[in-house]
Amino acid sequence: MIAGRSIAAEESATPKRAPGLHAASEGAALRLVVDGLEPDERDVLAAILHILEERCARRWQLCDRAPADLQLHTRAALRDHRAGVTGLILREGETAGSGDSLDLTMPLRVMAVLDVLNAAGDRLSHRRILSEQQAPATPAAGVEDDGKSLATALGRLIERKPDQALRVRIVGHGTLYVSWRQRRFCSDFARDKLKPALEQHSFVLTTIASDSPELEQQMQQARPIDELLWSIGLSTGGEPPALCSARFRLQRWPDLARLPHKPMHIQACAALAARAMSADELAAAVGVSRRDACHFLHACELCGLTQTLPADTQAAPSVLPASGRFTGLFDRLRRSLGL
Amino acid sequence: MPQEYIVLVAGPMGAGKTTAIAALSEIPVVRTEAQNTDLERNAKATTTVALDYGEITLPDGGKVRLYGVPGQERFDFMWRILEKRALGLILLIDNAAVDPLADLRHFLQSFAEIDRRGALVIGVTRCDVAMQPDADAYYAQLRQLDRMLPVFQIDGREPAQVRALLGTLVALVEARATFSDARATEGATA
Repeated sequence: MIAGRSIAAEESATPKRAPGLHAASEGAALRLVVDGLEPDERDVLAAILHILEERCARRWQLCDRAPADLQLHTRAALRDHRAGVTGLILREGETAGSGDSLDLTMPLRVMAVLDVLNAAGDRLSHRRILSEQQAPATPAAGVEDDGKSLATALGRLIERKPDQALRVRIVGHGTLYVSWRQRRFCSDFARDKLKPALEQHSFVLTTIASDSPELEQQMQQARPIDELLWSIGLSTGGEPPALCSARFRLQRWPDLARLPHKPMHIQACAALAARAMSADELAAAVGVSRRDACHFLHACELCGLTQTLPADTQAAPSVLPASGRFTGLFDRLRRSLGL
Repeated sequence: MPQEYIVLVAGPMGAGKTTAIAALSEIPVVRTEAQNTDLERNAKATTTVALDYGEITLPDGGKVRLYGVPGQERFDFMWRILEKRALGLILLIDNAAVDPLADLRHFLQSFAEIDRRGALVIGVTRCDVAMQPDADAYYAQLRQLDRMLPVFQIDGREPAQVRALLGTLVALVEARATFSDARATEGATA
């Protein structure tokens, strides 16, 4: 029996954070601590995590000591109550934990590890939202996605660029077909219902063959997938890790004649076309909340419109006060034309 | 004192310049047309031979004056006069033309002064008639020319789509005027 042993690979300095809300609230890699595994089992887990690096909804880092966003432990090892989420590693013959516990059965399998990591990521996001709702300051400008909506599920799936197509039956709305391979999608409900449909929590998602007759028939009325990705990005995203630390430059404009947008999206595109900016800089430049800036950047990222630059790229200058003859023209035009 | 801003709408014959101005203007569009003598290029019976004109009044009394410049090259003396005073250019490209990408290159070169300022947006029309070249091809062409300009697929008869083009043009100009390093870059590339 081995207890209290942890996986190697440690990050350098660990900032102090509130218990249970470690990296989840910031966008840095989430910290995973594993106790009670044999050395060869740890090696297997490390290899699996390496494979899953690109596939996980959040970035995970193996650490050998607390604080942990997720602690996986065997029954013999001690549970760290400071961890954000804990999960049980089940040896052969051991019974599962309580109903809502995160269980990982030995021997380790890639998809099982992926499920546990994504479920832990969801729980951490959910807790962060709850803690932000309970916080008295800075009311949110809109409804935050709770990580269980169709938008989140689709976003996660599409980021993996699946070979198979997806059929989604959305309760109260209709059916949505998505083909990543064809980069097209279609729905049997009105275009303006896409956003509320993506916010739904009741849906059945099925993978179907890319060459199925059903898909072929539906895709005759298909639309470019950027319309779907744009809506998913604007509804979800929160603050993915990359959005918090990097700067972004627009390398291609969203087709704003087709895509639903607000005036701030036009201004944000123009700002990012002029200058690489971080989410905070963009929020300041356009005069929107950080959350809205992050969602906009997420939408651009999903549609492949932005180039990500390292955080140490030259900072955007402060927004200049009104001076030129063009200043405020966009707002005046917006009021005239109802943009 | 209320200010005036000139926005040019240019593009080859038949790209929908007059229609786009009509979609934006709050006054009836004033236009001068004549028999089209260049039926090889475009089969429409008549074409604009002087400026199309429309306008938008701003809340402070200022005006956005919309000038549609004729697409034929023999009128390019008008382009020269107007481009110096213009805030920017909405360039419409007919996707059903023989070589839309060549039209794009031609007009970028023709309006080099505005292009250099980056005060230019591209609306691709008649995509329902011809699906190629697609947006990827336009962006690839712009990359070759070392440009990063907005390309929207529009139907000039849809006011919301034309408004998105105009709003984008104004936001572009404002953003360039706001970020000082963008101005420096402009100067460097001039």
